[in-house]
Amino acid sequence: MTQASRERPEPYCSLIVPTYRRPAQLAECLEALACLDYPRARLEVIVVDDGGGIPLEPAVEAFRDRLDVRLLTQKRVGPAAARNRAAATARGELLAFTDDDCRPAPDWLRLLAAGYRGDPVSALGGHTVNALPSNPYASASQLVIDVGYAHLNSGGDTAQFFTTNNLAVPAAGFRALGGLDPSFRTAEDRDFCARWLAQGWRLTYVPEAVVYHAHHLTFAGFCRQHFAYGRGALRFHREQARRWQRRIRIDGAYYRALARAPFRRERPVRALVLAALLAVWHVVNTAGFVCESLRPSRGGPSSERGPARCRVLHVSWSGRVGGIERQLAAVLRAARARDYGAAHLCLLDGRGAVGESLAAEGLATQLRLGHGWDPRGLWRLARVLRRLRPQILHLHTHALGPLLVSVLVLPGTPRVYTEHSPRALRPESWKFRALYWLLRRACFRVVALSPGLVDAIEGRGVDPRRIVVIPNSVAVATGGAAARERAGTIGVVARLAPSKRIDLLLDVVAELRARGVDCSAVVVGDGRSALGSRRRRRRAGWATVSASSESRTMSFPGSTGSTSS
Amino acid sequence: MTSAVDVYPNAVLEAMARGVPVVALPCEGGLAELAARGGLLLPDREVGTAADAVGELLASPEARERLRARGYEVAAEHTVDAVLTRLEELYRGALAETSDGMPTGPSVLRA
Repeated sequence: MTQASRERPEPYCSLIVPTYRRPAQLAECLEALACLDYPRARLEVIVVDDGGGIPLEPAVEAFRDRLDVRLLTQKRVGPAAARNRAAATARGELLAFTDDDCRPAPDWLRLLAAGYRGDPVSALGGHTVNALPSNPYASASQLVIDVGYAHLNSGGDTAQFFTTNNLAVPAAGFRALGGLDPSFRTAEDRDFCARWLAQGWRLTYVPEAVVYHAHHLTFAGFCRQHFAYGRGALRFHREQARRWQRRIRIDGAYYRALARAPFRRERPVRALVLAALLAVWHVVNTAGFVCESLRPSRGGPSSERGPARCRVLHVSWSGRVGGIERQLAAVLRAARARDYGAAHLCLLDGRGAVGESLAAEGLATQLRLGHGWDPRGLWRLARVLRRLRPQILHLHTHALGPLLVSVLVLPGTPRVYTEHSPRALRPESWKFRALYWLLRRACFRVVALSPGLVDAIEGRGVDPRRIVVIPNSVAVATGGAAARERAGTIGVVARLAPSKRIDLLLDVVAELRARGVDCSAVVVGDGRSALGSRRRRRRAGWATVSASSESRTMSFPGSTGSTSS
Repeated sequence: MTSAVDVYPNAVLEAMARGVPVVALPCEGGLAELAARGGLLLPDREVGTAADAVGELLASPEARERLRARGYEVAAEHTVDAVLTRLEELYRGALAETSDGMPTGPSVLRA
């Protein structure tokens, strides 16, 4: 502190606290503000209710005799706009910001004001401490900030970044910059600091000025918060790139420091918990970042074929000849003539005859996803979803990755899921548990193909009111074959998979032949497995195998190709 | 059909639509329900039981005709039009509920 600054009186401070639906925390915050060792005549407190809808007047009223406190209310437009609104009516020459879940230390404002007196064109930030060390989510959240502060604010002649829960800004500079950018819902502080520095002004770190931050986070809250921060981060980087005409840069050193941080600061067990949460943080933060990058306003390249916009988008896996694919093909073709005609199919691995013909008709987009977590394929899926922006998403695949992508990219779109997988009937696997955990939260309805499947789906925790029975349809005309019947042919048409138990059919035919019944078997299907041993096939009258491009046809003496079993 | 698990086989629906009698072994999934209504669902998965049933069917045109009639009935309920109508109802419901301000997004991501 210089001699000159010591002679000047304390600056008049306006302390700004935006709040949203946390009256109890707000009262604790105001209690801490009432304990500040700052002259009451030089301090006003402005609380802004950001459309919380809970009456805060009683909470504020209790402090009227100890603080010069005002309450402003507004419609919900976000904390940045709330802080601007308060700043517009503030009388102070220094604007100090904190949040409703924060408790500044008694000397907090005095220390920041002292810094301001020493350097009136500098914005100041203090040190924020997690007040809930037993809450791992709050600890991990704070760790992310702490490492950022250590990385950005140490060394050099100016700090780089302060959060708005522990910040003091000269009012003149704040107004000259036009305040915070209210179009940011998060990361408005990063944007503000960058604009502040761009003016050639300084940010001064005052680590002695402490704010205790008590954000009671749950796991879901932690994910939600950092998903939102990820979105804000992309907006911030994009804004920076636009302003400075450069590419978005990712600061690798920060991420390396973050990975090491838990082990430097904490005892082993807790360090592992924090490291795990940081891994989660990486995922949700990146997801938010990616989600924001797919915003339609940006108008990404549309290399994938397909309509500009569709009403119902079906998402399925394969384009080969199979039950689901043929069902979808029939539905899509018939839907063209109806109300919901704008249905489109997104095939994740669209290779195969059904995929090719639907794509040729303009009804399907083929993505060629290699496997469920293929990052490039999922990225393409995200882009297709963004571009098509369907009103309804109908999922026909139990692959977890694509479902997750659809949730991240189109969070507000109603989703319908049809359970096609026989594996859903099997005892719990972690994959189906995870799938149904997400489905319970993210799906409007789950379709069961038959009443019997309702129990299986209900058994996975889906509310019975959200289960709808819609059977498969049959696309061939009724009648006809009876006249051409050739008694004695017993056949099956199926994917030649072990679960179909074709060997049993062959045994039945062999048994009938052994009894002297004149009959033979025909098996039509794709695949190699489960036809039983050569001896078994011979006993059932097996003769030839013929292969076509899509299916292998096994024919037996006397067969006509009719399908029965 | 000899499947151990079958959710809702197209082949069976198509066979019913074309008048081919369907015999199925009991199994997990919609196949059993389908066969019970529009075909012949056997009481167990023994080869002998199936051989008896199929043998009887092969010997009796009347029995095949009865199965054929039931098959037509079930197939007629499964037209593409009928399925589309139910799907459209489902989609309309989803859109109506969304425009009423009902939550549709996942609760984990709702801010």
